[in-house]
Amino acid sequence: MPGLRSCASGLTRVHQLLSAAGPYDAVSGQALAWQRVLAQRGLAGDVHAVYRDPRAAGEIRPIEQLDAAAGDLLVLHYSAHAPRLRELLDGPWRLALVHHNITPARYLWHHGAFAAVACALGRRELPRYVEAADAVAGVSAFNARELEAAGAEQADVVPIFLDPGRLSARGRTPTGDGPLVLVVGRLVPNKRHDLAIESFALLRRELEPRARLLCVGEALSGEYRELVEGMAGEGVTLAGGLSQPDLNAAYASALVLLSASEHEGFCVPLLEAFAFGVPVVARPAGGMPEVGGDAVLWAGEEPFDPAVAAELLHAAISDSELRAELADRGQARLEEYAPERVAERIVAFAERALSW
Amino acid sequence: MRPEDAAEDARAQAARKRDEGRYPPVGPGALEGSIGEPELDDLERWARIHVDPAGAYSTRRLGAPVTGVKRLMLRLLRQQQLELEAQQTRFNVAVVEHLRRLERE
Repeated sequence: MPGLRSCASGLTRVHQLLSAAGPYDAVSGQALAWQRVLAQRGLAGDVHAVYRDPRAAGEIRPIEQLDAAAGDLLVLHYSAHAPRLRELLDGPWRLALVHHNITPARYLWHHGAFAAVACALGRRELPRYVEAADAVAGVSAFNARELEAAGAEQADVVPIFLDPGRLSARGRTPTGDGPLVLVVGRLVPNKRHDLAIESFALLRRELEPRARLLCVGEALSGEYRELVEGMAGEGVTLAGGLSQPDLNAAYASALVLLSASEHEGFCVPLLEAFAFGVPVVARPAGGMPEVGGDAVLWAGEEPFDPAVAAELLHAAISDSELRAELADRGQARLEEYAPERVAERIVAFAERALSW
Repeated sequence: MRPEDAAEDARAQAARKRDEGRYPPVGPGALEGSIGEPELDDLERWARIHVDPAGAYSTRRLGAPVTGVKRLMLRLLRQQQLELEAQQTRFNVAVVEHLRRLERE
């Protein structure tokens, strides 16, 4: 078990814990945002991860360096199994569990052994984490319901903290011209890039011959990237992970955001698209309907129909009245997730976990 | 057009063009066949462990030398890795065989 510091100073510290930290993933971003919000209220602490991508190592420390005392609060941002997190469940500290959701392993068994095992065990062990925590929250009501199904008496909802400041810097604009359709999310099977690419192909063939599709997100593996590249036809670019300024430039150039994802705990790109006034066409999966509300063109009921998605993309690109209405509604959704409101909920949740 | 009308309009357009043969029937998507819980045949295939050294790489900027060192170390430790793979494969194959027997009974 990582080091136990005596609480001689009398100061309570709040540490954020992750199973894995990467440069572009939403959960790492949230742990850092919680750290900043709580530090402003006098609840300082560090962010630690079991597995760290070297590109995220500057801000996130290894779990072995965790220096926690009895009375401190550990906020565990849960998104996958990691053996060393489990060791922390029975310590003398307070424990708060934030459920970011875990991809069902059925999407991963055939594409990534490590991720499949981490997700399968993560879901299996969720009840044990719920039982050990002093307070639990999901980043959406969808996630909170999963916590209650795992045994929580009461699960709060503390949404994703979107800092508008990080959307201001502009990097490199995507090359080419023609209407730009954007897909933002890791290149993993549950995001269903196959269906997004199929929708785009129909759009390009029938409605917008000059359209371009830019898929932004790190691939599960080199092999999986090659598999998706094999599906990508003319006009499709797989950009990999982009820095925030480059992603901002992509949003600023895009005419529509598309998501064919089948499993989402929250879906941060919805809020990012709203911030840029970019219309969204999406499948109503997981936590997305509660986040997007009436500001998204939902691509209907199951099964996902790429032809309907193509028609919606065309409407979102070409109908200025529709675009303006969606932009207004997107702004209203953003107000629901205003940083000061979410910050209050983060602080209230942490205080409750400390006073439990 | 109002957003509330857009979905209905899109469905109508898609149905009309599908009737005209311009859109294909709704399919499950190219990935569908590789999504799902593993079958016993999958377990049998996965039982034989072979870890590709290409999986060892660096994500750092200018990480090529780090990748080179990692792969060199794997080559130097190949003997140990083969024994590890063999022991794990022996266990896996035995378990799958056991499952096959249970399935037949």
